[in-house]
Amino acid sequence: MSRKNYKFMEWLLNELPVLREKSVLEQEASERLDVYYRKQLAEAPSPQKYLSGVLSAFGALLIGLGLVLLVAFNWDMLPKIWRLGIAFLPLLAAAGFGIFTIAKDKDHRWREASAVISMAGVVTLTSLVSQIYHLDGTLESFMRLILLVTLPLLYIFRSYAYAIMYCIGIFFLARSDNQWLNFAYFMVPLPFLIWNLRPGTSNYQSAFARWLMLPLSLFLIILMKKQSDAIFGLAAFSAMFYSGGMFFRERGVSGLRNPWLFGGWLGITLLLLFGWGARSGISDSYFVTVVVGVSLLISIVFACIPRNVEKISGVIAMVLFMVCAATISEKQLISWFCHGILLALGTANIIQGVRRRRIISFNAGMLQVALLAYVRFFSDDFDLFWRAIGFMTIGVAFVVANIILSRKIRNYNEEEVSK
Amino acid sequence: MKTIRLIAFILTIIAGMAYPIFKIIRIEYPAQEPVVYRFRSGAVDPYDPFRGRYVTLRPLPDRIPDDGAIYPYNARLYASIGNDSDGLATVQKLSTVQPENGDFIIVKYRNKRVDWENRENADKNKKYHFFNLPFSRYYLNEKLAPEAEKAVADVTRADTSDCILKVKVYDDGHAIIDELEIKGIPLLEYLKNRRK
Repeated sequence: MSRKNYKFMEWLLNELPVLREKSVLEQEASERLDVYYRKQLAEAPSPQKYLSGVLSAFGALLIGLGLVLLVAFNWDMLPKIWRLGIAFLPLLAAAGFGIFTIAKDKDHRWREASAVISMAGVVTLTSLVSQIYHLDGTLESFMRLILLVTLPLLYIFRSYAYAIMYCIGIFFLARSDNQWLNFAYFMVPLPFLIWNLRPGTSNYQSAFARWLMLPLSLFLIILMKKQSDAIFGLAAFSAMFYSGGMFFRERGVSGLRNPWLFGGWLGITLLLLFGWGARSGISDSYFVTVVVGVSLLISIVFACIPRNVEKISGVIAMVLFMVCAATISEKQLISWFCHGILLALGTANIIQGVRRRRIISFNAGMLQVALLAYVRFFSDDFDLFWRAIGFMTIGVAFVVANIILSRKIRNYNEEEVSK
Repeated sequence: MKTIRLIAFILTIIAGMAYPIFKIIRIEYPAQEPVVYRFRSGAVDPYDPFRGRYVTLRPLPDRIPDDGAIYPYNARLYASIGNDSDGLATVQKLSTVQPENGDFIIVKYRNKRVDWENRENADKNKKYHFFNLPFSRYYLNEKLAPEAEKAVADVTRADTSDCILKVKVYDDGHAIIDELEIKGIPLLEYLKNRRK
């Protein structure tokens, strides 16, 4: 099922009278379309619904933070038994609130608030007991415990606010050497995010899931510890996000709702420009092999449904980059190879942009070639005069190429209309 | 579905309470009464975003002379403890296995090195095993913490035996701070007296 584009529906409804007037559509067909799309729009989730959800989650978050700060104040003037009793109150109140939300089947605003307040209750209780008994322990072990025991809240309340807090909290675990344990922490919220990416979910939900996948992936890359391993991870994730971003663009998801596309493109471009500097042969880490392998597999799946040259070229570029990083140790040679791959990718994007009359692909390719030219030829060896000339030449090339392509697209559209 | 969610939520709340309750029971109702040891200490004053202001203590001794043993960094070791002639706690021995007799504390091993703290008189041929004792935080009201830090710094600059940590050592090797004493007076009382 394709994603519903409500803005397009609104536009079409405004167009229907014009189409009728110009005899493009018959009265009967126009009325049928009008009824059908008005019904669709009536059933559409309103932005206000999501806004009120965000606000209730934010309110609950403030209450939670207030609780934590109240605890941090340290009420050492009270007897220990009182303080221990007080420590349980926020969590018990949160439990009551959560039970009410579930029992009465309350809407998403209540669910968000319940998840956030319950998490704050657990944080408050654990913190107060640590404080009362002067218990030692690092922030990492504290966060590990909190995330572990509160994780079910994500699925019980299907809470996006909790998901955000989890994705922030998980970075406190990054210093640990236990990669597989941290990998488990990475994996647990994944089904929730993937579920939100399925066709049929609202634009807001799927955009949220796409955004949240980015910090989660960054967490996995940080876990790789060694710079040379992290470069492999970055390459695999760039390929995955690029092909995934293209996959969603084909389904009408663009702009801020599709951060994967820009993120993937940026990752690929920067790695090919500078990433070869961290080359160091094949990684011997089983963890890195599994993460990179799975990410590449997902990239290939995205690139092949349906098969598309643009998507595949991004994946191939990153695979070639990894092969170069693993096998070539000579600095000059690897830089030439990587820059050659970027030149080919940029050129392919320009050609695709022209062929498909897509100005974004065209400019993405132009930018890749321009950045490559800058890095390759405008180093310190050139004085300011030549660098200035170079910048202006690239700038002029950009403007001229865009004007030519825009005209071409306009002419094509006019021809299509006249047909 | 609603029932499953309800049960899952109640289980989550119970899981959230489990660790604190386990800690409270272990500290308040131990199978065997803990033994109180007095450790010398120094202090600084940092902040934990969740648990608030605390005085970071540096309980001593945090080293024993090298006995030739090799331990990995961060290893969990058993430190056999006793008292010296002044009634202050000492660490007698480190071991990878739990001692059968006497009190012990579970510590984290740091490294083996020369004691460079006493720079001018450091004996380069004498190495020590350094470790972290598991009690280094004394939580305080945020208004009192800077004052406490100053008081502790003033006192420990002259003599670390004026700043004493009373620590309850349990029979399973765990230890918690019972009181922080400055010149034999509990910290809060000492600060009150200082203000007068």
